[in-house]
Formats: sequence, C-alpha cells, structure tokens
Amino acid sequence: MSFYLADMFRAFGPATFIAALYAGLLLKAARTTLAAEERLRRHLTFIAVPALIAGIAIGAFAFFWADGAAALTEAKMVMEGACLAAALLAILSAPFALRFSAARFVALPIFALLVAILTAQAALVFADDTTTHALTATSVLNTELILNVLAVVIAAAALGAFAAAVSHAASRTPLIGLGLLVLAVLIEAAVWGGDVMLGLLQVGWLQVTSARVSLVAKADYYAEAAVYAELVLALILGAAFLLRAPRPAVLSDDLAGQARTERRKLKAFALGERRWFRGLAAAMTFIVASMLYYDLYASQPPRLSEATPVSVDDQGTVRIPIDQVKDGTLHRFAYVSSDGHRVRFFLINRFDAEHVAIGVVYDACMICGDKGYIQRGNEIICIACNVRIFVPSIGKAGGCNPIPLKHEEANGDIVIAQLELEKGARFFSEVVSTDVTDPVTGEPLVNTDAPFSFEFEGRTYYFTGEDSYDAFRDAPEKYSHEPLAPARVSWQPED
Amino acid sequence: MFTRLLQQSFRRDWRRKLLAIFTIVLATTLMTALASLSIDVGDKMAREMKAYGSNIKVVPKSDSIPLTIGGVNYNPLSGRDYLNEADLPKIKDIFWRNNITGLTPFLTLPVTLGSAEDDHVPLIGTYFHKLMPVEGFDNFFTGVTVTHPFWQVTGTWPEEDSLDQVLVGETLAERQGLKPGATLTLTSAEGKSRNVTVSGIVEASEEEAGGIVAPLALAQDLAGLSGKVGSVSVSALTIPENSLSRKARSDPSSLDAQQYDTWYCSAYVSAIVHQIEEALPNASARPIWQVADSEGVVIGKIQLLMAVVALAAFASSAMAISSLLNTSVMERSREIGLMKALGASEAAILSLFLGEAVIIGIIGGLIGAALGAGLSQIIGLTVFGATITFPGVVVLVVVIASILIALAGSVLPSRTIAALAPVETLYGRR
Amino acid sequence: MLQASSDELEEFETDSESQTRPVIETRGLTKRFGTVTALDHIDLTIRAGEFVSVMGPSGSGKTTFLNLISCLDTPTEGSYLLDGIDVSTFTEKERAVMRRERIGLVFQQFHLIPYLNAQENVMLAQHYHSVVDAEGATRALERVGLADRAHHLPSQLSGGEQQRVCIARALINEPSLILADEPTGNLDAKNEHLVMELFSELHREGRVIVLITHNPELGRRTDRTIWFEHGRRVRRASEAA
Repeated sequence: MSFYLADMFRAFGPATFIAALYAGLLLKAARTTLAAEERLRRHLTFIAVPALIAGIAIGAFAFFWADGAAALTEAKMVMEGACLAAALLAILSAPFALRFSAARFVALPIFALLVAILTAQAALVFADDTTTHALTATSVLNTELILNVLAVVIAAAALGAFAAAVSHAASRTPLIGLGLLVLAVLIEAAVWGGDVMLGLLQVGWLQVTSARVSLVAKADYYAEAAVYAELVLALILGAAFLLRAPRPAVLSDDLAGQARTERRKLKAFALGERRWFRGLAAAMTFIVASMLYYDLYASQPPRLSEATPVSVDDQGTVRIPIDQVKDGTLHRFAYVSSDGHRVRFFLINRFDAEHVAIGVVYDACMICGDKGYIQRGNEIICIACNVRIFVPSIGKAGGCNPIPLKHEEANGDIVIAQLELEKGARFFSEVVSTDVTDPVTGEPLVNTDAPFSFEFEGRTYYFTGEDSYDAFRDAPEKYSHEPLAPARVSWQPED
Repeated sequence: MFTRLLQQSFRRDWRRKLLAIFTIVLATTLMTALASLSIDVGDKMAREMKAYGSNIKVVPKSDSIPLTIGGVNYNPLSGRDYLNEADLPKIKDIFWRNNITGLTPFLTLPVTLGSAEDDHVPLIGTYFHKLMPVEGFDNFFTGVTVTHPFWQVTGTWPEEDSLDQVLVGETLAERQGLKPGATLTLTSAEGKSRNVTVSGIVEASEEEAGGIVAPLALAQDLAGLSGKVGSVSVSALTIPENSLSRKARSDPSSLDAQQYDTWYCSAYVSAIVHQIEEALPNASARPIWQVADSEGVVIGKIQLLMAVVALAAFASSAMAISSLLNTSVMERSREIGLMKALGASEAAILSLFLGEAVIIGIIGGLIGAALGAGLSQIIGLTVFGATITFPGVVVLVVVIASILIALAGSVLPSRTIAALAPVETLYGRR
Repeated sequence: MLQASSDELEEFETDSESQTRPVIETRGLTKRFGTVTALDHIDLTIRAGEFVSVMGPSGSGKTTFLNLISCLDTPTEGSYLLDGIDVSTFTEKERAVMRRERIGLVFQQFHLIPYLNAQENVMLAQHYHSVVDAEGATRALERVGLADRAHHLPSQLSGGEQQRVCIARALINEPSLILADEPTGNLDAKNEHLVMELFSELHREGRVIVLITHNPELGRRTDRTIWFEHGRRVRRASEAA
C-alpha cells in the first residue's frame, strides 16, 4: 500500500504542482468580479477533467504500446520532450495571462495541453514503476488488492486537494507563484532533460561522450530528490500565502453596527484563508509523510548483521574455531583486501548440533551481487532477490546461493587462505581506506586518495601519478606478480 | 452553527433518519457478508501465492490433462505412462537445484488384502527418508518425511527399500482392526503377491487414509513396473509470484529476452516448474495451490455474481435514500427557501444535507459491517463448513460504500434544493 | 385615480426628495411569467434614508416587485441598480451575495427556524453572511427589546415577539435596505403598533425601509407611498393631495 501511495505522489506530484500554479495565476487574473472568477473556475474544471483523462489514456496507451525496454525509453523521451515544450509555453504565457485577462483565451488551451501532457508523462512513469510490484497476487478480491487500489484513490484525492490549495495560494501571491512556477519547471526540466539525453544516447541519435554521460548520471542521481525539491517550493508558497493572509479579526465589545459587520466579514475572510492554508498544510504533510515513510523505512532493505573483522595470522591464513560458529546462526566476518575492498563472508552450520558441517561462503551472490544475506528465524534470505536459501545447500554453487569460499578444516578450525579472501575482492564494491603501494614506483599511498586506479585480474591497483598508471596499463603482467602483502587494516568496524 | 443545524435535524427528524440508516444497514450487511467471504478466500490465495515455499507435482505428460470427475480418474492413458526413477536426480540438477528441498516419487496401484474377494485398496509406493545420489550433494535425504512433514506415524516408518514392511492408513486400519506388527498378504491385479508386516499406522491426507503406504520398491515389484514412478512431489523454496511470473506462467514465450532472463534467474515457482520440464522432457510439472485449486475456483466463478448482487443492493438502497431525503427536502422547503433568502449559497445548504447523508452512511455502514460479519460466519459454516477469518478491510470498504450510497442518494435531493425558488416557498405564491 | 407617465413620476420624486444617494434605481423593470406581464416597465428611485410603502390590490405586482428588488428573482427586462450596482444580469450566486450583504427581509409569516432559539435564528443570518457572533446577535435582540427572550424557541414567543426576532435578523448584517412584506399581517393591533414603532425608530436612525402592505393606515406612517395596479405604477389622487 505504501508503495502505491508514495509512487503516486512521486509520479504525479510535480505535474500537479506545476499545473496548479499555472491555474492559480489564471485565477488571479480572472478575479475581477465574482461571476468572472466563478466562470474561470468552471472553465478550469471543465478543462482539467477531460485533460486528465486524456493524459492518463495517452500514458497508458504509450506504456502498452511500448513493448520492451528500448521502446519504453523512446516513449519516455518523446513524452518528456513534450513536457519540456508544454512547460516552457506555460512559463512564457504566464506573465501575459496574469497581466491581461484577455490572454486567457490562449492560456486556457495551454493549461489543457499542460495538464494532458504532464499527466501522460506521470501516468507512463507510474505504470513503469508499478510493473515490478503486484497490485494483487490473485484475481480473487483480497485485502492487498483493496488496500492498493485504495492507496491510489487516496493519493489521487490528496493530490486533488493539494492542487486546489496550491492554485488558491498562488492566486493570492501571484508573483511568488510565478517565480515558483519557473523554479518548479526548471527542476523538472533537469530531470526530463537528463532522461531525454539518456534516451538520445541510447538510441544513438547523440554521440556518447563522457561529459554527456556524467551529465545524464547527475540528472538521474538528483531525479529522486526532485519531488522533494518541488515540495520545498510548495512549502515556500504556503509560507508566503500565510504571511500575506490577514489575521482573523477580533470582534471587540466597543464595535457596533456597520463596523462590527465589516469586522465580521474580515474575520470570515481571514478564517477562510486560514482554512485554505490548513488544507495545503494537511495535504503536504500527508504527501511528505507517506513519501518519507516509504523512502526512509518501507523500501529500505533489511540491515546486515555486524561483521566481525578478521586479520591474517603469520601463516597467511584466517582461522575460525568451528565451536564458535556451529550454533546454526549466520556468523558474518569481514576481511579488508590489500586493495581496500571489504570482503564479507559468513559461516553457518548446514545441519544440526550433532551433524556439524560448516558452510563457508562469501556474503555475495553470482546473480544478485554483494547485497548480502540475512538470517530471519531459520531462513537464510538473499536481500537482493528475497529468495530463501536451502541451508543444507549453502557452500554449493548455483542459483542464488552464496558464492563458495575455498577453505580447509584443521584441528577444529576452519582455515581460509589469505589468497582466497584476496580473490573475493572482485565480488565486493565496498572500499575502505587502507595503505597500498604503487606497484610501479613502490611508493606508499592511501587507496581512497589515489588519483589513478586500474583493475587487473580481479584486483585493483592504485597509482601515485599518471606515469606509473600508464606504465602499468601498458604491461600489467610485469608489475602485478608481486606477492600479496598482508593488509594493514586501518578501518573501524561499523557499529 | 453548521453542527447545531445538523444536530437539530437529527433530533427532530429521527424517525426518517432511522429508516435511512436501516436501509443502508440492509444493503451493507449483504455487502459485508459477500465481500468477507470473497476476501477471505482471496487473502488465503494471496498468502499461498506469496509463500516462500511451494509444492510442485510432476506427472507424465500424457497424464497432465485432468479428467478426474467425482474422484474417479477417467483419463484412459492413466496407468500406462510412467516416469523413470533413475531420472529423478535430474530435478536436483536444474538452475535452481539448491532451492529444491525435497522430492518424493509416488506409484499407486490397487491391491487386495488377504484373499482375492476383498475390496481393492490403493497401495502407494514412495520414499520415506532415502539417500538420493545427487551430484554435488553427498547427503541428500528425501522422501515424505521431507516433502510431507505433516504425515504422522504411530509405530515405526518402514525401512527404505524393504519389500516386507508397510504403513496402513488410519481408516483402513480401523476398518480392518490392524495394529503395528500385524501381517498382511498383498495381491496386485497382475497376480503378484507379497507377505508384509505393518510397521505403523499413518495419519496423512484423505488419499492415504484408506490405503497402504509402502516403500517404492515394493510397489514397483507388485505392479511389475521396475524403475517406474507415477508422479513426483517436489518441495521448493520460491519467491512470491508477481506480475512478471504471472505473465510467464500463462505463456513464457510472451516475455522479451531481458524479461525471460530475469524470470528464469528468479526463484519463481513458475521458473522452477519450467526448468523441471526442461530437465524431464516427458514430464509435466505444475505448482499445487491448495486454496487456489479448491475454494479459489468456486469464488472466482461466483465473484461476478457477488459483484452484481452487491451493486443491486447499492443501487436499491441509494434509491431508497434518495426518496427519503427528497421527502425531507420537500418538507423543509420553507427552511431552505429562508436560507436562500438570507443569502446562503447553494453549497452551504447542500453541505447540510450531505453532512446528514454522510453521518447516516457511517452509522449504517458500521452497523451493517457488524451484522454482516455475523452473517458471513453463518454462511461460511453452512456453505463451506468452516468459520471464516473476518478481513478487517471489509469494514473500511463497507463504510466507504455506505457513504457513497448516501451521497449517490443525495444527487436527486440536491437538484431539488437547487431548483427550489425561495419566492415560491416563502410566500406560497409567485 | 390617474395613470401617470414615468416622466411625471420621476419629476415628482425629484421634487419631493432632497438629493441623497439613491439606494434603489429601476429603469423599465419588467417581469413576465409566460404571457402574463406581472410588472410593466417600472421606473423608480428610492434614496438613502427613505421610508417607503408599496401599496396596491392583490395581483397588482407589488410582491413581484419586492422579489426583484430583494434580488430573489431576475427581471425579464430593464435594469435594477442596488447601491449603484446593476444586479439585473447577476447570476444566482452573485445575487445570493447581494442578499446576504445588502438586504434584510421581514416576512408576514416570520419564517423563523422552529428548532433554533431567538438568538440562534439571528445568528443563522450571521452564519450565511460571514461568521457567527453571539454578542452581536444579543445586541440586535436588545435593540428590538427582546434581550430576556434570547433563549426562547419561536413557539415560546408571541406573534409580536417573533416578528421582532425577524426584524433583529433582518438588521444583523447592517443591510442597505430593509424589505418588509406585510409585517403586521399576522399581528393584533397592539403588536402592530409595536412593530410599526420599531420601523419608525429604525427610519429615524437613517435606514432605508420598504414596506409592502394592504393597509392604508400603515402607508400613512411612511414618507411616501408607491401605488401599483396591474403591474404598473400609478399615481393616486390622495397621494398628490
């Protein structure tokens, strides 16, 4: 349920905000007479509803038409390009719409376009996001299905309330509303622009350069935060609106007659504005709370249990007494390789106390990578793909089983050679800072500060300068055969 | 003021409000009962689909078309095609081999006990706790103790591969007065017979209750089908089904290459089933879903009917509310006219009636949900012979539905309100 | 009885009134129901501070006139300016705003909400106008001499008292105009006198009151009487005298 709620807000939130700001500016321009305002309100509703439906239909159609990842990328690219154009049109027309009431004949069609295109894009994103989540596990009506559908409905209602409140607030603070509209579009434009560029790179219409790739990567990195940025803008709008709103008047005793009636009207107006503000605040609180709940809590993978750091003895081995690890729980250890990779591995008794058979494996999977495994009750679970691992099979390769780690048993100890742990460096991406030496010059340096690095045969080498880097790259075999130096561990285990 | 008006409206007109609440209670009781029956089964099915373990049944391909009507197997090819016992380790050789926790073969044949005049009883040959030679697994023990952990034996399990020890199902044991240690002579239709000792009484599922469970080797010997098995039960650790696996289940060829890879390399039961079929070309594998295959089928078929009934209840109660409210609006037309004359907006007047409708809806919905919960238990007991777990979400759904009923019923009255001219109601003339 | 032309009437008004701000101005105000013309080209100006009675036989169009000037209805033709605002083309919503802010209505049947007490009945008008103000409502009831009756239900009040609650309600939003339709029609002589006294007082306070009545007695207590007959304004001989 929380996923659908959060994702509705993520997908449709920015679109709602931008369209509502624009509608608010139009509303301000029309606030000449009560009838004119009413008429515009009616027009906006009559436009927004079909535009929303059309947008959702377009988005859904595009999603079903786009069979396969490439077609989907193209569809997204086209949609986001259209969004950019529509948003630009809106920004350009907004000052005129605010200034000249006759401009609404242009502004209303632009509003329709804006709503339809932004909705279509959001619907496409939403449809794409939800493919990895099941709305329901079965076609028979069930609790999960109802809650998920309800989440979508509630989110739509919250967005509706948010849109109404934003447009009201923007109509009261039109200049700030205009500024925020520009900012909101800029934020989304960065996201859309990044996606469009990525699409162009993918379909080969744009040549791949490192600058472009880094730009796309940056846009993608910040895309997650974009919706929060939009919410910050909404917060600014709310604050500005609250500051501009009159304070509810006090009906003091010495007032009488006309003055008292006037004061009553002012009070009603102020209370009405307060109500709008509270509505905006409530909608925003709900949106932010449900997104934060999902992003910070519900979507977080379970945490790995703490890994005991191990170091190598003078024989170049790691020894772990079997008695320490035969209780049937997962015992996680971590070794820092000479190139600074934190190699996690775990030991577990595959059978019971009477039949001790210790499985010794890396805390990583060939398919899912180094997310690791957790123990929940009697089950060992791969965090990445959620599959339950058949405990007696731990230590055997295949499926999503943890990668076996070569070891021996001697004198009641599990003995792991340092070389084997060094080999494991390739499976793990986590790097801690450690002292290394430049294989070419022999100079000592800290791996995380090294300006150059090169991966060769599953091991990362670090260099003090470009010269040694180039020298190594040209003939890696020449330098890489150095014996493995014992790693000097210079990191603190996390708590 | 708004609450004061609402309060007074209820105090003054409580008979009509009570009638409206009663109308909604009737509809929502029905809705609750139907919805909770359906949702209970749906939840059970969802739980099954989302379980992290599945059972898979592997049968010879020609056997896969189910023709079992009223418990009698009408499939004419049945009993002719078999799987090879020697192929079983192949199941432990698929991509997700590590996720196969156990596999148990079965071979069923009719036998007579003692003299030939006796009734035929099924003899089920299987593994109990057998070491299966699987490459890479030096001690893979499998059998019913692994795949059917709910089997209970009074006495001892027969020795694996023995030809003279059997388990007797509880009903059969009771009927024949058999105790552990008793001896039997089993004669198959092929005319082979063996003297066996009852090592224990087994409590398992219905099929085994009236039959004899024997080591697979004994069944093969009596049937004259050396090295053959009729079906295999496989237990596997799986991950919950999702839309990708459902799509794959209906047709794996509908996936594109990337989706296919994701699916194949995820431990979906459908992927494992697919891989077993790849490993055993003449076999057909199918996940076994207890709920989905029984109650789920029933509910799935009558779901539409339930929806229609619920909709009818919704519509009729909305109409009843509509006429009740309309009468109330007519009666209070002077009041409404006055409010309009005082400059009340239509929305302000409407909100008064909508507020009433919502309160009526909530009260009626809650009462209806409570009554419906009771009704669903009665239906559950009489129809399914079991109480149902009342799904809490039904209360939410029903209250929302009853508010919607009340609001739908307010559409017509609100038009009446809009059409009321204060001129007419205040002066009674134009 | 003479039928006067609009020009004449206009002249007459201009003569008789000092040039204060017009509150009501109608020009060719016409209302037709199907083929029946209820009100036929009425030109009329009522200025600030006037106490005017509208008289005429049943069916003369005076109630239709009242409905139009109280913004309860829209004219078929002509214009109507209330406080200088042309309301003849207003939508229902806009007219509702005009009603709540500028018009106080007093009815022959009182039209009090039976389940609300006197104070709450006054507060209802405040509620639809802006926000409720119990203090203000109490003062309005004091003004009409019903301070001790504030928490009585209409059924516990006499006819005269009910009508005074109705007047308090009409006054509460400080309207530009008080319109009373046969306010004493359901009252005995004593209460009639009380209510008329109240109107006179309000008039002295400078409020514009339009009184619609059959009763010539009451008509005489106003500054000026406007006569309607068959949907037209007529000039009575007695009036000119």
